[in-house]
Amino acid sequence: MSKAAILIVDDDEDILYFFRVLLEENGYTVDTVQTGQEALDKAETYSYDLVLLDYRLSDSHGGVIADKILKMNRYVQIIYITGYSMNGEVPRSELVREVLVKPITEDVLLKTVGDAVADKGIEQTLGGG
Amino acid sequence: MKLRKKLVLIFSMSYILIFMFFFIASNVFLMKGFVDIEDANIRRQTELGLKTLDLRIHELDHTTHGFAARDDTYYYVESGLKHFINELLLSSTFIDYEIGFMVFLDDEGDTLTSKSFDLVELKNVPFPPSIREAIEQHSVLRLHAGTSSAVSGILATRDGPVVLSSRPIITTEKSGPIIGTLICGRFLDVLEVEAIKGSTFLSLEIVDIDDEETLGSFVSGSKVLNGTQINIERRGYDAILGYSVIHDIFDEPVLVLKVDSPRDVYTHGLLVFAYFIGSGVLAGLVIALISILVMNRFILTRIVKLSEEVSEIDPHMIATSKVTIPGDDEISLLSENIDEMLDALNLYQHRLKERERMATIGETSAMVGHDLRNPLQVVYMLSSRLNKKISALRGAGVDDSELDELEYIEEKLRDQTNYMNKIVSDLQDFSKNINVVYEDMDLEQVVADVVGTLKVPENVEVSVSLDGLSGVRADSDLLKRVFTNLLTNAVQAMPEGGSLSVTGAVSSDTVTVAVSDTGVGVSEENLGKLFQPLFTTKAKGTGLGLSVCKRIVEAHGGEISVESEEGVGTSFVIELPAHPGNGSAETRVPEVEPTALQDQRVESSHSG
Repeated sequence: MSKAAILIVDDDEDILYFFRVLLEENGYTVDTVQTGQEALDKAETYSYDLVLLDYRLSDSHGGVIADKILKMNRYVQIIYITGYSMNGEVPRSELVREVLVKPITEDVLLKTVGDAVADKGIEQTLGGG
Repeated sequence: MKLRKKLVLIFSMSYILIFMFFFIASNVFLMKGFVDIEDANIRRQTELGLKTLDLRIHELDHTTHGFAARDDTYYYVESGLKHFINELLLSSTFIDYEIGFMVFLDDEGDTLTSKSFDLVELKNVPFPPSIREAIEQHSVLRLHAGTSSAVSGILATRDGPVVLSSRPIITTEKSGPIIGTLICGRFLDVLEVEAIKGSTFLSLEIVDIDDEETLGSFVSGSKVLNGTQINIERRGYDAILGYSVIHDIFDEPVLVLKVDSPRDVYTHGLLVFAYFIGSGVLAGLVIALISILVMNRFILTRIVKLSEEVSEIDPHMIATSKVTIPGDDEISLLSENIDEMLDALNLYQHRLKERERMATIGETSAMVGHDLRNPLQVVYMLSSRLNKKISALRGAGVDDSELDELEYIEEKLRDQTNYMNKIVSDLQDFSKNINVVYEDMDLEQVVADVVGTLKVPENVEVSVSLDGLSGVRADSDLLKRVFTNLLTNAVQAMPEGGSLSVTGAVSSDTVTVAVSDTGVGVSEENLGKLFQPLFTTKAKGTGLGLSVCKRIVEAHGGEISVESEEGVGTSFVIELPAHPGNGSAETRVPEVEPTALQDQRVESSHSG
């Protein structure tokens, strides 16, 4: 099985750094961007398996970016990572696999990402088949 | 216009209207009645005067008839012997029968004997030529066709009017043949008038119909009137006059009877009217005055007082403002209602202030909460990296005691970060409306997860007994927050150790969970404020935890309560509906806003 490719979108550089280190240590291929526009540019050039998407971005918000990325690649898994509490601000959507509220522990992050990538593989196989 | 002015104006207008009505009505009905009575009176008096005059003429006629139908008189005319009538010609006869003159005529109408007597001077006087002329002028007086023929009445002469009677001379048996005529009469003078006055007690005059000086302009018009008509003239308030025309033997109007009467009835009527109106005015004034005073005392003054008290209310001092109008009528009721409204206003003012305060806190909390989460995330990662580095260094020849210290630092870093995370969560939960997303959840698992994340000291014994609570419908994320708060509090309440128990039960409609500790307890004074936002007894606490718990439980349609005894322990009891709605995963219950929390606060500040 090839390494799953993950795009992380967050406006905080430190978060991007530590998430990238963690995920790369665990065998994933990781790209990081700070804005919604950069995320769209990246998604256009590469088909990611998973996008970790901060809901509040400096130039947009997660909902818009998630919609656009899903239009490019309907099998991509999207997980919101947000500073908002769970109540209301981040709309749960069938298109979004999970909403993780910061601070996220390493264990939770790795488990959620792992599950998502595994499911994505099954989905794609079924969808592709 | 002020109420008092209006009241006085209304009363004055009513009073004037009533008075005018009263005045006109009594004037029309009362005074007309008096005038009618007065008219009837003068009419009756005038008729009485006329009748008395008629009666006297009738008496004269009767006397004349008596003298004419008499054998002695008959013999005298027949024989010419005067001694037959000597008795009749005596002065006493004239005086007794009030006769002024007497004329005996034969059957040709020529005078046989005549005599005239002055009834004032009481002496014989020469026969007045004016009367002789009048007799000669009117043959109807001198000659009679039948034995019962009679002429009597008034006759005008040159010397003034006379009353007279002419009768045929016949025998005592009233049989003929008629051998002559007897005429008796007297001047209709002062004496006659006095006689009528004497028997009627009337003030009357008999004047010539041409005497315009006495009758004035009045009679010139009355001449044309029917003889039986009685005319009435009023002279000011002093006198009322009745006039009636008197006709002579030939039915010609010759005299006027004038009756003069004081206007007693009318002036009395005026007096009655004046008293009537006067007493009416007085009574009206007194009643109006009393009414105004009574209304003023019992209504106006109180309304004015109420108005003043209400206008004196300081909008910033509603809590201490009261309006009190004693009594049990609508005005007092109004004041009570205003009081109630003031209380309500006070309550709402408090609530509004609280709400504004909470809204500000909420906005700030939301912002601070969100912005703290990124640095928190970074610190989490740092802590995690540190941990890994320590593990990597162990067994690499590094001094273990140094590594132990680093481990201790890493552990404290994680504890503090966790605590910061809890504060941030509290702030965010507190600042936002709570949406419950129902799912079937295992309550026992939720509590176990929470206990797992909790740092429980060794001297605290934890027991969880939630068998049979695996299929509860609720929001597990939210309930985690509730139990995290309750259990954290419980552990903190037992610095000397103790036992913490979580027990549960489920009935047909309620799920009950109790979290009990054997800690320091909460004083009775603080117990009521426990769920209020920002209330805390801990040195290290936001005071939001329990308030968030209450909001979450209430958002589920449940209730949370607390019992505590100082030194013994505290027990929180949560009751949740067992079947909330028919819950799909996205069911939303009505949002619970921060205001629901503040009623208690306002009420307790009231009682305190």
